[in-house]
Amino acid sequence: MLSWNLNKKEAVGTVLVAFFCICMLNVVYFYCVPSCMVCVIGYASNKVLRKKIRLANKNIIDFMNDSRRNFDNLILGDTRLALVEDSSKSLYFVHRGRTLFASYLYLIHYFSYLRDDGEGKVYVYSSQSDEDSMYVSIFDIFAYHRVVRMRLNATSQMIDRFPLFFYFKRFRNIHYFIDGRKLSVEDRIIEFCNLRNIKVELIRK
Amino acid sequence: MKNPSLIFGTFQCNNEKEFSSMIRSVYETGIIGFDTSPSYQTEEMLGDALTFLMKKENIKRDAFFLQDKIDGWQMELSKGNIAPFVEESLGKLKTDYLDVLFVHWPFQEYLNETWMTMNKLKEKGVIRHIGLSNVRVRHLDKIKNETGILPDFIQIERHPLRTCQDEIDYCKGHAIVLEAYSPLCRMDERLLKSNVLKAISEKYEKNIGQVILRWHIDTGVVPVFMSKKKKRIEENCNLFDFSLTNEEILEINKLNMNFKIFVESVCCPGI
Repeated sequence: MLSWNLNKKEAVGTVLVAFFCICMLNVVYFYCVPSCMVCVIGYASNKVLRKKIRLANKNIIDFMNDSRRNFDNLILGDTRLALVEDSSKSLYFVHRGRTLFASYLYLIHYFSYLRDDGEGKVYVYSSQSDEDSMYVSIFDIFAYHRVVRMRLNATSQMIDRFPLFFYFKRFRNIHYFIDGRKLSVEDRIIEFCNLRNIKVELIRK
Repeated sequence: MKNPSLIFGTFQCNNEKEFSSMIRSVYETGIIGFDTSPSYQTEEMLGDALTFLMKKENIKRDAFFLQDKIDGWQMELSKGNIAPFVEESLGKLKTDYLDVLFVHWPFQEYLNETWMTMNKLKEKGVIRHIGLSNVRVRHLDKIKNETGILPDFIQIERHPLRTCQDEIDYCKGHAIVLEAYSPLCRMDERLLKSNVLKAISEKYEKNIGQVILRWHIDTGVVPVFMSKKKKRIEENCNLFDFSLTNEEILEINKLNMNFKIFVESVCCPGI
């Protein structure tokens, strides 16, 4: 009687353990494996995106260790339209789909690399209307100064570490311009260049 | 207190172990002017080093000429009401006043508000002089037109590869003290290989660095230099037994090629 009871208990125990294992396998299979896969894919995609962002900003000059200055041209905007002949005296910051507002921010960051004898020229390529373009993308944000990022509410370290989460985010601040003047971005680019004795050509299609 | 003719800068020298002895060496060579900024992260170390020096040598605060800066992020965060940041800096520097407070970079947004706050602090005696750093003549004209207040000091990158004649002329005309940071252009190769500088240095039996620093002084500019080497600090102070002729100054001026180490617009977008 006692051994029968033991066998019965063993059998019940075995069934319970087997049931538990099956459940765990189920959990592992349906939750952990996909979660791990998502993590691995996410990690890899994040890495690829970071590489792409670096590539998009490959022309940023480390001014402490690179003595290139006094460029003839600064070429900004949307790559699809950037057709200026290549030249070692031109500095390029172009990327597919870059907005006019993002190009304006590139302009205010990098215009000092131009010669300042009045012969420096800025080309800005854009294919979008002003109304649609008051934002910058994750590909642009890394090229901007901390203060500009503060104004665009883009100072979180998450953006630097996990740009993938912000891939579709449009960084914007409707109050970016605090001077109260209702000028279009195009007019601001022209005014900015005129005040600094820089030639400018806006090419919109 | 008379304005110093040489100032020691503390950019990129935030090694705590070296800092105190470096400041002591600087003081022993006769330099009393010190320059810092919140972004250099040297305010606290400089405060400690000077406090130690004052106790040990039994000297008073007014034996030093201390200048600090307001950074762009502070202007942006406070929308120009930078008084609390000045209080914080005074605490770190362990002093109750600054000889000069500069706007580090003239970010256009909130510059006027910052400038007015600084002027109020000057009236209160918290700041002896107010200054603008990294500005050109157009910035000086603009702030004069918009606020009616010109700076007492300006600090700009100036060296033989960037002579800034317009700014020098403007400052002379408006009684503004001009300070030059990166006065040796980090001993750029183009300066080391310059025949003009080599010839002048041989004539006076000085090194090229000393000739350049003397060129600053002879053109009415106060160089703000930094060196971690005691020997170099001593050399850089050994400038007062010779002076350059007008011809030599003009020859050095000809080296100008509008070369800036610190690209203005990268450091201060929209400058």
